[in-house]
Amino acid sequence: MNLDMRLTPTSVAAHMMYEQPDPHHFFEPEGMVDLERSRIVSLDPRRVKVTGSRLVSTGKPTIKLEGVKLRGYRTITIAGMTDPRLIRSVDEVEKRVRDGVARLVQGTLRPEDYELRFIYYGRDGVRPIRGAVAHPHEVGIVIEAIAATQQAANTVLSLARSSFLHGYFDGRKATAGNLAFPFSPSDFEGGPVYEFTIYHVMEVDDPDALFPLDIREVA
Amino acid sequence: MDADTRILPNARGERLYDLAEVLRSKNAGPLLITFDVILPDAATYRRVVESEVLTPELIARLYDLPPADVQIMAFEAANAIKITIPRTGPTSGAPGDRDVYGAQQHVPLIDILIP
Repeated sequence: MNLDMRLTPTSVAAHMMYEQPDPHHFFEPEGMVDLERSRIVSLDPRRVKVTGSRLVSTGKPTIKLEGVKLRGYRTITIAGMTDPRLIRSVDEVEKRVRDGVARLVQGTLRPEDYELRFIYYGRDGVRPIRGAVAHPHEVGIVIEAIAATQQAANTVLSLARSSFLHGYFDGRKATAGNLAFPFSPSDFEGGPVYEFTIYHVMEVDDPDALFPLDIREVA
Repeated sequence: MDADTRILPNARGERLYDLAEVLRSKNAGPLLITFDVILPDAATYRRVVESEVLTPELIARLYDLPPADVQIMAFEAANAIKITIPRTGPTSGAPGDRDVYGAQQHVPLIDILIP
């Protein structure tokens, strides 16, 4: 045991609530864990006693099912921007890049055959922002292409990357390039991309039957 | 003037960020985001609960949701409040998601003022 570590009522509470939608009830294959009458009491600075938690049978055992479908293949690039006019104009540049890529792949890929996304870290990369857009000193960009094959994603991404690098915007002074790439080569294959299609609880007669064990002696 | 000042006009008090011992967001499965507000003691917990500041209407405004989609649950044994909302955009990890684990979605809550 690490004597520097401590179990506290807060750390126990944090773990009881962790990644669960409801603090009082959560579901396991054997039934519902009921924390309505739980009590969390500190015994000393390093120990906690929890009482009152119950396992309530809910009839048949349940198994959680998770399933995904293949959405396509991903390629990305990462770069930075510092030019103040460029940072104010990224939406304009992005629109031109989207239009340019659509034109360049015309006849090969329809608009519904690929996805192109631009994430601007330092602006609103993690969460959308309300109201006026702030103009920070630097903005990081991730360009993402997804298509039915890795080859097609690579092509879409390379067209988007080069169009963004050289993209025009009103008042542009730095005409040699819009993006500072930290890596060469600049593009990264992300491989297959999935999304959730199944997230369900399934009632079963025998939960173990779904997970057959095959034990072999090898030595 | 920042977004939260506009949402909470004339509010006074201490920020939830400063009162809470834990203030975090995380996936609760791929379809839900859950927020844990763990207060350091029973008195602070009661102060937050009895202020009645944390309402589905407030959370709905901060996260652009209908109030009916917001669940707020007091977890007294832990001096904690749990808030659970649906993901409105892509599901966790799907193309277009910006926070696969939902771990940085708590920030709209930090400036909520508790009298």
